[in-house]
Amino acid sequence: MNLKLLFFASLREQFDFSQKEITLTREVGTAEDFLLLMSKQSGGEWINLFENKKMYKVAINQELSSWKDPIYAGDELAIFPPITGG
Amino acid sequence: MTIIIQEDSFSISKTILKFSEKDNVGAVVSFSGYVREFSKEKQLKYMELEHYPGMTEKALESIVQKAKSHWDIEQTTIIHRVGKLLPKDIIVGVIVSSRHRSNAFKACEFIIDFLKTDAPFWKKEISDKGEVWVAERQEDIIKKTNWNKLD
Repeated sequence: MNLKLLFFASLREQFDFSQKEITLTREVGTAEDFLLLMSKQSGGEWINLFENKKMYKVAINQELSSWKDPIYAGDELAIFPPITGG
Repeated sequence: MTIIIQEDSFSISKTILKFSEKDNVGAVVSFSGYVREFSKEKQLKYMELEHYPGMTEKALESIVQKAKSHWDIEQTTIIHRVGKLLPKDIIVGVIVSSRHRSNAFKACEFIIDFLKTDAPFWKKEISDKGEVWVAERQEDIIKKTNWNKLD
C-alpha cells in the first residue's frame, strides 16, 4: 500500500522532511492505524506522534479529516500542528 | 471569487477600488491583518509563514462558498502572504462586496474567522528570544464555533 505523506511546520522540522512516498508492508484502514504501524516499525519520533496525535491535525487528500477516517492506497496524507494563519 | 497566495506585498486599497467600480456594489468591506512587532514579552525580528499548496486554495474556496450560502454577496478576494514577513507587514486581506452593507460585513468576518482555523497556514516567530511556532488561540476557535449558530 502506497501513500504520499506530508509534514508541515514543527512536524516537518522534527521529521526533517516535507513529503515522502511511503510503501507500507501491510494495508491500514485509518489514519490512526497508519500512525500505529509507523510507530511500531520505525519508532523514535513516530511513537511521540502516535501518542500525541490529539495535538495534531490530519488532512486526507487535502481535506481536514479525523484520525478515524479511512485511508486508501494512493491517498495524500498530511499531518500538521493546529493552523495559525491570518 | 479570487484567491491569491503570494510572497510579495500587496495594496488592499487597489482591490477595494476595483470592487467599487463594479455594478451592483453598494458596499465593500475589507479586513487586513498585519505583523505585530511585539508578541508578549518578545520583540519580533521577522516571521516565516508556511502553507500547504493545493489544500490552502481548496480550503479558502470552501470557506467563501459557505459565506455565499449564508449572505447575498457579490465579489470576494482573499490575498494571503507566505514566506518571510517583517514587523508591520501586511499578512492577509479579505475584501467582500455586496449590494447592502450588512451582508458584506458579516461575510468578511465569517471568512477571516474560518481562515484562522481551517486554511492550512502556519506562522513561526523569530524574535530576540529565539524561534517558536505560533500556538493556536482559543479565542479563534471560540469565534469559529460561534458561527455554528447560523446553521
